[in-house]
Amino acid sequence: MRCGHCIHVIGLAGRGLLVVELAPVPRREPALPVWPQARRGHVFAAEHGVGPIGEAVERFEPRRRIGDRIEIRGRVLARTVVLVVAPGRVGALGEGGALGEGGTRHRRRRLALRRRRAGGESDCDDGGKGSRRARCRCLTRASRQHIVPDYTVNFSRENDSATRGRRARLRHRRRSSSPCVPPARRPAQGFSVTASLLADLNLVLEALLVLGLTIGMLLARRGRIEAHRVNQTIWALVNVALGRRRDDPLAAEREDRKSRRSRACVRRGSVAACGPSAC
Amino acid sequence: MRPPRFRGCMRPLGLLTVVSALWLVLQMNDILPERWHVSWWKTLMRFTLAGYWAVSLLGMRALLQMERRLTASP
Repeated sequence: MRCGHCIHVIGLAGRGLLVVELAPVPRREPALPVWPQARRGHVFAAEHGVGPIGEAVERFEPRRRIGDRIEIRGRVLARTVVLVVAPGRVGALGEGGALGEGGTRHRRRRLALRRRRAGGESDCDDGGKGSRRARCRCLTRASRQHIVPDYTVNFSRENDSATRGRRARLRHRRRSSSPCVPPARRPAQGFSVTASLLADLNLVLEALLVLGLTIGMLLARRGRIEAHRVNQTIWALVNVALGRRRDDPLAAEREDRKSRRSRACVRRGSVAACGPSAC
Repeated sequence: MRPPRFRGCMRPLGLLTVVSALWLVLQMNDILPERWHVSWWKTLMRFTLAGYWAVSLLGMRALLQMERRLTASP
């Protein structure tokens, strides 16, 4: 694992000598700033000259471990468990990058070249994993942070509302001239950020419905009672039909909070599931 | 991300509005039985129209708040 692989391994969780983490990966010039965190003994600063990190043998904690069917999302087979976070993008080594403010241009260029070479040697460019790398690269350096670990491989990221919201935030924040713009794969995006096309159409129809009902009220005030009755009946039935197909714009937020809470549980268990084929 | 504070009142308000609108439509088209007809249908009509406007405006406001939160930097 080199820094050009765009993957920063923070910790390994498992039992046995094979999963012991002897050194920060990558060993130097990491793409992510990792600092000591309270109550997380296996995360230490991965900077120059840092020696072995992590406990001798990391294992599941006795409480809040992965044992819930909701947390593991149906992954019941025993596999290697690795914690992987998305680092910053490769091209933006400018302001506040991994080299910090004091990084020289030569050093940045050298690091970029090394990352490109390492990326070429990487064997994880096939199929869907190539898009994973592209997603890694789109994170701007200014917003360098722990985004969210890739917990699972089999879990569909496109259907995850938290992923959708995070991607929308990233789309908004990244520069338009960025050379590493990943293709947006949202299937049916409406004209608002939060909702789908169907929900946006629903919103427009609701506005039309309110206007139609108001026009119906004006008809009644002018004495055209029969036209008023027909008009209001039609709009009330349209409203019932719309209510059956209503896409709640707040449902995505609720799902987001739910998935975040479950992820927090997983993180407290100091483990995140990622198959060995992910990287 | 915290939900909008007025979210709790949106669902019963919309439900009441839809139910009252359906009640009015059924009554005025003589589908509802005679004994279920309400004599204060004019007031119910006014409240229904006000409910539609309130639901629409509150929905727009919730949507705008969600978009503002999503587009703001975390």
